[in-house]
Amino acid sequence: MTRRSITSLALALTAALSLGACGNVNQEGAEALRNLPKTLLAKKEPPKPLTLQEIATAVSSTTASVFMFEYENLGAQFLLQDIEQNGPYHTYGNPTRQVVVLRDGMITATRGFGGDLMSSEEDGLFSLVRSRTTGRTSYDQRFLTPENLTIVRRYSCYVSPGGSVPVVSDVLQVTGSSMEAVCTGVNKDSPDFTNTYTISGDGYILGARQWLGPTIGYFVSQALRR
Amino acid sequence: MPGFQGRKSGFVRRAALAGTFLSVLVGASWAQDVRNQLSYNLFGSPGLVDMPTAEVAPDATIAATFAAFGETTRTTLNFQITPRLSGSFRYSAVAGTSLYDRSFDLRYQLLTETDLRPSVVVGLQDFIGTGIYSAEYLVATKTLRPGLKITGGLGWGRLGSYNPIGTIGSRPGSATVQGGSIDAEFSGRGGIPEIERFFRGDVAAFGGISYAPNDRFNIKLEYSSDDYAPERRLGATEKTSPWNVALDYRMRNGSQLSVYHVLGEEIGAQFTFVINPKTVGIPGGNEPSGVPVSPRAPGSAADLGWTTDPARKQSAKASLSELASKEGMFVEGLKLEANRATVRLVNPRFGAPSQAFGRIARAMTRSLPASVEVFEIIPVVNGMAMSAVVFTRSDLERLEHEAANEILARTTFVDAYGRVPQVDKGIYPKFNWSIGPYVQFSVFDPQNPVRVDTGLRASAEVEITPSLVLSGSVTKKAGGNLDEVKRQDTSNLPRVRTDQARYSAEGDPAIEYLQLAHYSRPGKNLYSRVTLGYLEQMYGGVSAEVLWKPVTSRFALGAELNYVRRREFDQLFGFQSMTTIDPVSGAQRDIPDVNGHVSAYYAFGNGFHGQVDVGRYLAGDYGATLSLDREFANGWRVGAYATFTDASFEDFGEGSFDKGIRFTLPLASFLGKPSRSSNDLVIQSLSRDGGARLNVRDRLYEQVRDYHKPDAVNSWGRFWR
Repeated sequence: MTRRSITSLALALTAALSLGACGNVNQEGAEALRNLPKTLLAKKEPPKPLTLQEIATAVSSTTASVFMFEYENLGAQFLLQDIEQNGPYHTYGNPTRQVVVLRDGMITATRGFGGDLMSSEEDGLFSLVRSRTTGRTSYDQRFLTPENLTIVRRYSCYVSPGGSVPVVSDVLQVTGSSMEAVCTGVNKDSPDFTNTYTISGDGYILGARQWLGPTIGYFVSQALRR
Repeated sequence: MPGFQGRKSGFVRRAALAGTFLSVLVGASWAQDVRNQLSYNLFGSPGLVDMPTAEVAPDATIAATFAAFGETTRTTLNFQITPRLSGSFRYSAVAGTSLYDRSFDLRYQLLTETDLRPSVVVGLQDFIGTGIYSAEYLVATKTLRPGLKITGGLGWGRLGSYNPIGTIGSRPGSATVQGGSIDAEFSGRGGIPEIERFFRGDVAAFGGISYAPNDRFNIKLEYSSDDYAPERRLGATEKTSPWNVALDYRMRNGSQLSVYHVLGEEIGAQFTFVINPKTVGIPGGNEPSGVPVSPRAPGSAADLGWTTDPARKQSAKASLSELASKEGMFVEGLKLEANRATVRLVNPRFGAPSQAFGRIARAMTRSLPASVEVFEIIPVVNGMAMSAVVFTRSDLERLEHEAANEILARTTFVDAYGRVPQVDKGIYPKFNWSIGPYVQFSVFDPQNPVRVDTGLRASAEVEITPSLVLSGSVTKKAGGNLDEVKRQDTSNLPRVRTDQARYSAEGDPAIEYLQLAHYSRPGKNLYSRVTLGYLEQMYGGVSAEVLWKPVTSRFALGAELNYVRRREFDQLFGFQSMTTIDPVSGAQRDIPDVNGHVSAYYAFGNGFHGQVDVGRYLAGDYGATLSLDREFANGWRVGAYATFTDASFEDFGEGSFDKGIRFTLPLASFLGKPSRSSNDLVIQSLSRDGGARLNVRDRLYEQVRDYHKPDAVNSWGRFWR
């Protein structure tokens, strides 16, 4: 039995207790009951990659910056556009309100994916990567637990030239210098990871493969328009 | 100012399609030490087959076990109360008897396992109740290599009954089984710990070994020191060997399916379902993001032109209301000053108050004029302003991408008394209704494991004003067997609860409640409720309550006074005499008109919450209820309570005093998105007349504490979620 179907079963029990009713308030229980057959029977369709046409339409329909992402574990591709800026942080989003926050192309937070990276202490890593400097630095990632407590996963990262970023789409060939960050967990239960970045001459991360925690795994990003 | 969704264009719609794949639940990583995962025994405790081990579950683990062999079945709930202490509640069908027995265990880890020493646990099995499984033990378990564990221990009571190696003092009055019933001669009625029996009498050795060759299977072999004497005396069980064996199949989430060969004779099976409030559900949930902060342009804060332009004020307010409603919340009032905005907020969606604050504060940065620097958010429940949470806009702008505790350090909680803006015209009255099926359970009673009623329930609520609420609910039974409770207990007290079965049988259709409730803030730190009408299944009347709770305090005091009338058994509009007649003895007794309590509440701050209620109960008995709950930041709760009154144990009847364990399961853990709904489960001792309280709805404390600082801080990490 997979984790997913067990969760659904537990949901069935709870929903049966809370009893879905129809009415004009508190419909969560009813909604869960209605969706139950779908949840239990859902077949996992393999996500389709975005077509050239979709990407072209996307880029031409806005003047804002657009990034393409691939959720590695799910093989899903999606596009987000710049919707807000606060200091060096740009919030990229879509209408279903999934959000990735980028600092010159480096992911510092996500929202709406489940197991989100809530925020990070990325100053050291950011400055080594964008200046293409070899060196060691600390890097923190913050997450929520299912209990709603914040946990900090603390890393020590060694940044050096090398590595390569997988190509998400052939539409835009990303060229630049490659850097990689090999990060080792300081806490025992924080899994190690390696990020790779492609950096432009002016220090912008055009493409990257970045670790976003044990629930999400890696996102691969590619700038379609800076 | 454009909202979050204001800029959508053709491509983002398509991108959204790809996005929906992302919200599926991603499985947790497969723990590396899964071969060392603990195994549960037939008693639903960490153990081998029948014998316990010194294994200890991760803190907060809840394990439900259904086990059966021969004529014996055991249903056990085990909870890891603290990292070292665990407790179990068990409901068993004892072979050879027609009775169902209830028992409680406690286990405490004396030594944790290290490279050199084993884990050591001391346990009390069935230490209150009728004592059929009564035993004590000291057990040690050592992991020799991955998947291989060895266990040895000493047992008293039942666990000292086979091949004893010695005797320590004498064990007074052991439970005996005669003529198909359990005669708990040692305590008469059960329900009280029998301390003088602990670790006394014959002592015997037990032990065993378990080996998990891979992640899925675990083989267990034990030498049992339980002779099954009571069951064998009744001729219900044979025993030809002290050696028991088992095979576990382990599931990914820690659940376990096992088959057994026990006593040399019987085949058994068991399923254990494991859930942990700390790890169940999607971390952080997978609901959509809130809107991002919209930082102000430098210098724009000086523009006060809008203050003289009613249209700009109006548009700011409309924009905020729209953003709030997209978040499932309501801005029911807004006071806009040159540098300050105060929001009257109703939050039906977010279980974590910080998430409601965070989302509305971000919406305020996107909708309010740039000169507004101070944001004051006042959550309102039943018209009562719960707290005023104050942020500065500059902090929100500066700390959006930082750790949530940084904004917490800059957040002020103050009492909202006298600060809340008036509610806007046209919002009230509000009407809410719902119709749906219901299931009413009675489980674990001594005659029948499960009784169920099902039917249809219609409920409606009119919020006449924000603080004056008329509400009611009607049920119509479709079927069930709750009314088949034949047991007619004699009671030495007025029959305030023992007529339950008659109410169940005759209330069809039944008005569950129909009441008018008024809530208010009579003063600083004070909250009040007056409820009038048909208050619960058995009583109507008037209930008045006042609560004192400062907004930053972990301590609260309350008082409640009730004047009650006994409802007719049919649960329609009638009332009946307060004089009850015992169906067995014919004795007439009067239910007093007035009951009430003073209550003290304290959140210890380490996840535990205590409550003491002292006062007069429904039957006129005076006493106190003590409650202790383990509470989790996501809304899960596991707790226990006990009521002691001046009604003697004899007058109370079976069980000696009222006690129970209770669980709160928040729906959000299962939905993966925010919700304020939860399910409460209470496993109570037999419903008797002593220590019974009026079940009035919507007592103040649970409404108030949510938005006060100590509770809000627990899940503050959700502020930027």
